[in-house]
Amino acid sequence: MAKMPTPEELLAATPASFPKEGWMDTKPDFHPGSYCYPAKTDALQKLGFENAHEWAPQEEDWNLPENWEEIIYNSLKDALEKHRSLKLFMDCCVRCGACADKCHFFIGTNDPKNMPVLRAELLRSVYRKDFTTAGRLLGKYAGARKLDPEVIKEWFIYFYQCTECRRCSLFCPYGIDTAEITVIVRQMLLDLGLGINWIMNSVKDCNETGNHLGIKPHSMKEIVEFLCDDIETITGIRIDPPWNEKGHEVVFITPSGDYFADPGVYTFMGYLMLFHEIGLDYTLSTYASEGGNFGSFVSFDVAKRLNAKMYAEAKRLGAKWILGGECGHMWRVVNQYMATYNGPADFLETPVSPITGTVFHNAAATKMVHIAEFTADLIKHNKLNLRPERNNHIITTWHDSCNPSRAMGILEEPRYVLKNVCNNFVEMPEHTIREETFCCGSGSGLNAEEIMDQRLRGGFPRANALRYVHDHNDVNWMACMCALDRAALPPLVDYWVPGVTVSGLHELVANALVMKGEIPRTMDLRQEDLPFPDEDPAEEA
Amino acid sequence: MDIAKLCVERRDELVERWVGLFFASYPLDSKGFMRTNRDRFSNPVGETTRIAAAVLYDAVTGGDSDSDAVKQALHDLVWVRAVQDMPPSKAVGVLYLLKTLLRSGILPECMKDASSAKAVEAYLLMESRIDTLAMMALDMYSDARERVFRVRVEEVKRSQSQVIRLAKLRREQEVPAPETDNRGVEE
Repeated sequence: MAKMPTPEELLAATPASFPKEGWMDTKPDFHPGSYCYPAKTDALQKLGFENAHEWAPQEEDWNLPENWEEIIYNSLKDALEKHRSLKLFMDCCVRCGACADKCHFFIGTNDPKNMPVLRAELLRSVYRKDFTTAGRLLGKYAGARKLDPEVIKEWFIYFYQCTECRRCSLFCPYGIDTAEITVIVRQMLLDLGLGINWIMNSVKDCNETGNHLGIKPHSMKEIVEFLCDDIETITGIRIDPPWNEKGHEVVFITPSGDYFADPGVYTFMGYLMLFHEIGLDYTLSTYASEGGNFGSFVSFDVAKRLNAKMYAEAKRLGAKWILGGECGHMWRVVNQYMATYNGPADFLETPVSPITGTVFHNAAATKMVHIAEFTADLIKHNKLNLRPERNNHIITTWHDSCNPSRAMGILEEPRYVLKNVCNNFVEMPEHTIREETFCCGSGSGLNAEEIMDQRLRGGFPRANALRYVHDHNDVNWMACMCALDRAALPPLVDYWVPGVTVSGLHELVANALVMKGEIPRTMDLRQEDLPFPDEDPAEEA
Repeated sequence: MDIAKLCVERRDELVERWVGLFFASYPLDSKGFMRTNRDRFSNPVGETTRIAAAVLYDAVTGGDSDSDAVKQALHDLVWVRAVQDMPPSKAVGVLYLLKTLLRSGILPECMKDASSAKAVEAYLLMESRIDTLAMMALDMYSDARERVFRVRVEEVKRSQSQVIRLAKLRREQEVPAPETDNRGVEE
């Protein structure tokens, strides 16, 4: 009879000796839940990726092109020539470890390869081998290693466990931008025909149709009509937003999740109600209906292509400037890359608020204003009639989305808006907010449901800080201004902190907004009864 | 032999060793961070584990403990481990390792003198409490996994809520098809 193992043996929980193999030789583990589904061949082909092919992450053989080593070598060489930053990032890291415990994936998973320093080392080791003399001569002793298919697999696992949130960069004394390293490695993987479905299918649809679900223009219009029906039910006011119309002052572009997904649609209804109330001269566009740049997750080239659509549409429609909705990556692309990609947008004008006359000099280069700035300016100039008491049942906190906060520094405006529309506001603890905010764990296209466990681990630091204010300050709401957050935080909250609702900023704005000619409000934008409804003048009389 | 007193005396040492066994579930390179960083926001997995281990130790060794607090601590611990990519036995089973610690740290003292029968009886009660916790943990683990699957399904529904609404409307507008052909969106 076989000896039954003791619990200790079964759990292998007793600290053993050091692992037999170093990190370079520790192979990634592929099992369902540890990887995203691969991109479909036809989606990649339509986007012009030559080596698109059928493959499956769990299979031993990934059917890589025959000359895959040459492709990677050339791809890395090309990236090093094009991006001096990458060369710097490869050479200057002293492995001080300041970044190590700042990554939400490391903190949540405790997998050492999720330390940003080690994640970058996965590429750096290959770079050393092929592009540095020391690495060529001394190999492993100089931290270099030979490229083999296992390295490619490791890249696929770990560079799709980085949300490009750039929290680590904040703490790096050299400012190494791990997000850029991640984008470049994902680009190299795409050169081999390896991408993930959630991102590449959305990129294909944004490229072809304009929105990430590939909904055709007439259906999109119909969906917005539903939302206008809902607005009419709630306020008694009918709104009929213009579509693809030339000659308006502003073209409004928001992430397409706001058109189709809960709870983004409530934020979208909020935009429409605000624009109607202030009489903004704007149009929506089906061609440029996705502000969130899915291409920026994986490739600078694709990001450029998608970013160009917004500007081409503004030009075609003859708008003066672009107003952008609540989004994350859109703003990183606009603020940090747009001028290089597609600038200068000199066919547009420096944005001026038609309501307050404020000139948005900060948007002089991009001609694009973030709606939180726009609304904060309206409130500052007392242009909105607000009744924050309608939100009195809400005790809200503010989740700083990674990109608007770290890539744009937009920290005060949303808080100013939120405090004006909501009487109960509580900050989450220091070091978990503002520039140091924790990512939702699903950014950069990782909100694929097949890796939900991984997302829950990555989002745990965020949820943990939320849980603290939920327990200590009765916080029951978390507002944010990123479409991925609006999609990814509800499951995160449902698992870690049930009892907290996630919403965009303008949902709360519209709840508080007193519109001219509206009926007394008895329900919020989700058509749930308001605990503090408006008084009905008829009943009073 | 006052077993309760002994458990209090050895509390810090035994809890620390137990926490070490929890941390042993993670890769060696990460354990230093988990052990040394004591900030609940920058090391949430480590601190959740540490806080829970102390509460559960007190519950097992019979100190005064509030049953809601014990449930909450166990819940926090199990729900973290339920999504940590480890088999259920490892996620929950590490609770049992407290038995090994108690057997080496407390039991020998219980058996030292002539009146040991009573002390051993008290000791066995403690071990039974570990069994109770493990059973509770099993339920919690199962709840956590069910929640994961539920949030996955709900996310898919949320991500296309308006498209589903449109599809439903289109179907309502269509001439009803024979039942066998009706394979549209479910209500």
